[in-house]
Amino acid sequence: MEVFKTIFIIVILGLFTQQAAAQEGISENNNGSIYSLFGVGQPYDNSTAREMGLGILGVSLDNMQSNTLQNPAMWGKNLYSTASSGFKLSQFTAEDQSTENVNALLETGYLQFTFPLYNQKLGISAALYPVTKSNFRLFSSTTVYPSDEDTVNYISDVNGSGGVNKFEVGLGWNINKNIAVGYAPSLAFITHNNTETTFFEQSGYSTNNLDRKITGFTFAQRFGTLLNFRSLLNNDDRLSIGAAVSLPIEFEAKREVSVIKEVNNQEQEVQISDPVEGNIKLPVELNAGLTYYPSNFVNVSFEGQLQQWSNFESDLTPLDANVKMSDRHRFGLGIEYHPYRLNSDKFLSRFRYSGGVSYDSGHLTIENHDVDTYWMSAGLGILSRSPSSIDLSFQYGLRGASSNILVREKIWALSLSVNLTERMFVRPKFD
Amino acid sequence: MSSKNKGFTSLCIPLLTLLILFTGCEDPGSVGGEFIDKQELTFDTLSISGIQTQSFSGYTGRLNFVTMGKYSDPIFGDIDATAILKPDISASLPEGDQLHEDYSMKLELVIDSINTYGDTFSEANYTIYEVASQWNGATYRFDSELDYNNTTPVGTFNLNDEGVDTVVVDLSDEWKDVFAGFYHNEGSGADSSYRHDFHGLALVADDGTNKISFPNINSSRFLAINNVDPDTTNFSIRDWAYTLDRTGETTQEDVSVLHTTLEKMLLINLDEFLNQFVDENFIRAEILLQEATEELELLVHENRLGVNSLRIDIGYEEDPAYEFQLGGAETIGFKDSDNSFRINLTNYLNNSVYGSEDRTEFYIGVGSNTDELRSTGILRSTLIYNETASEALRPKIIITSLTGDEE
Repeated sequence: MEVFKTIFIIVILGLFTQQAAAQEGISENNNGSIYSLFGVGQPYDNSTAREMGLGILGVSLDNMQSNTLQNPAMWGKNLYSTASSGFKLSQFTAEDQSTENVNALLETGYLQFTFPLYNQKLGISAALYPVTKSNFRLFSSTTVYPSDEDTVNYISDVNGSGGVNKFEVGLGWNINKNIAVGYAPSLAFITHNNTETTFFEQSGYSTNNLDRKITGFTFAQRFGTLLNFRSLLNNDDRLSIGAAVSLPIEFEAKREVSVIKEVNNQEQEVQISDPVEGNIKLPVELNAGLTYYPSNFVNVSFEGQLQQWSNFESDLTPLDANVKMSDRHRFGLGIEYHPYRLNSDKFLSRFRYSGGVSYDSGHLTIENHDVDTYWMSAGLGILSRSPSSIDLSFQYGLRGASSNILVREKIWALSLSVNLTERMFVRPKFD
Repeated sequence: MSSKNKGFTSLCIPLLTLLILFTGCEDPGSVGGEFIDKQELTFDTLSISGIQTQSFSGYTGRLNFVTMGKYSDPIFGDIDATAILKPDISASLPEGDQLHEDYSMKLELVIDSINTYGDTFSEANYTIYEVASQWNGATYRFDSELDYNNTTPVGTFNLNDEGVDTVVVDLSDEWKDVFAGFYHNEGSGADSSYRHDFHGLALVADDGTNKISFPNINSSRFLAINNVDPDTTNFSIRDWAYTLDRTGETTQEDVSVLHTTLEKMLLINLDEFLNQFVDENFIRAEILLQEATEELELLVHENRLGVNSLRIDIGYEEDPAYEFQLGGAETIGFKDSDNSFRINLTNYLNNSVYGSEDRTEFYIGVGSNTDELRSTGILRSTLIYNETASEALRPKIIITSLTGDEE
């Protein structure tokens, strides 16, 4: 248990360090997919490492010991107070028809606390988590000839960071043994930065740091439900069907463009144009799936997702003519095995194992090609005597294609979630 | 360590290894660059109009060199320059010695052997006279009033065509005696009396001189030589300046003249340009001036001292000549290989568009400080194409910007 607490603290510290670094635009080892440059970033998967190991979202993975962000209905079934967070380490090997680059991304995801108000009946969740993230970086060099005799060489370092985040407080209500519902209102806020640093080879040109920042906040909400059915094919089996819907989010956002200049002998950030206001609309999201538990040791999940990115609108991040947002479909199939429930002393029997495959059609269509991703995943759950756990997942994905102007990305991802679970606010019987 | 902790440790080691491997292999690059509308470098060239010519009386005192001589420049006119010098009196003679007894005085002039303006092969004759008017090098300008007693020469010297860089001139005993009176005055007001009543010497070029030379003040000195017991006492130069008279300057309409003496300067008003720069991510702004190099060429044996840099100062309300010539330059532009001067205005533009700078007028010229400090005081001139010249040669402002879709 002490080990779990220590790791949790490390993760939390990592979260704040990472967020601070992202705010400051520090991009070393913070560079992800090039496809995150469009719109206000790439949709972020807030599945726990356990859910990622299964290759699913987690909307139907009924579990009263650990928490999840995927379905608010599950918060009413919690027996314990939980605190969880996680981070993800990814490596993107991006290649086009002639070049290959490698980006590494260490990022934190969600931070969530849940508390049962009435044990396994009514629960509350408070969470801070990303909805979209932008984390690309690329360099390019250019040569221009201002006159027959002059040459100017410069390098552009373009870097994206930030995205849409939510601070959410929601309730889950376990109405009866068959049905649970949940509702989660949230404050959604956007802080999206696109910085461009231009370095010049020739003297007389100073380095130019330009920052395009989009900010705004709005109200958002989502709903979830979970249906449970027992003894379908045998006395020990059960089936969970989950669904969650996030309503569209519409921001009245503001874009400011600033540069660092030496003004009156001091470096200052100055606006080079008047702020521009505009709307940004994120689409509806529908997650649904089922998990079948044939016994206490195995469960199989199949889940899907629809994000209607074709309805995405943004006055502040126009897209090129050959790029458009398209509806995103995700499907995942996974299986999980729980040998630790055998109470065996064997080392390999102390863990939880999972594996899965998934397909993500992506939210982008570039030159009429969907930027889709195929994933394979595997997971490992480390359990303790208490209900707390650490989950690890390994994923390998292939995204896009290296044809035309598309980029093929090979993605390795290692995710870790820490789930601390305690019984709190329970009056001891001997008191 | 329990078996459980052992297992956990075993798990952490490969995880940490993976962490190091992943984060250590980053090599970001250009893949995906086609997706990005990055900023592009653009160059806007704007012709400057409304340029005015201004005249100031430049300071000529206490610079590193003094100018002396005569030269008839086919472009810059007939020039007559007279140097004036005044010895220091702080030097000490051997105890008991008196200047007016066994001493004679000389003036040792160290001429700049690199820079000579005019007919370098010609012979120049000079006569030294005692200055009759009061002057102060700190405030002396090229057109300040100068009177000297041209009836009583103090000395004469000659600069021939052999590139002599040091000349020692005998000074008259009459002048020496006058100087000795001030030197040996031990009264309470001696220094004040010397400052006000002793006016030094004027080095006047004789008629027929056709070149201008530049004595180096730091190396030149007065010498007091004991004729009985050979001994020499050095008197440094306490104060110095030069006057300059120029007539008959003839230039084409499409060029403007600039002199180190500030007789001609350019005044540019950027008010109409500044609004164009708002909302632009400009990274460099420079004024481009083209020298009329071909017109500046002289006969083979004659030499005109060119200008290697121009300076720009924001207009000052009080004494622009002092600020321009002796104050700190706003910025300096050096001559390129194509004989153009590029003067960087980026800082000014940043201050003007984003800061508190509200002055819009600039003086452009050749101050005495424009060249490297060691050569201040040397008379230099140049021709710059003005706004009536052909489009390619006119003064311009070049704005280099990074422009993107939304900027």
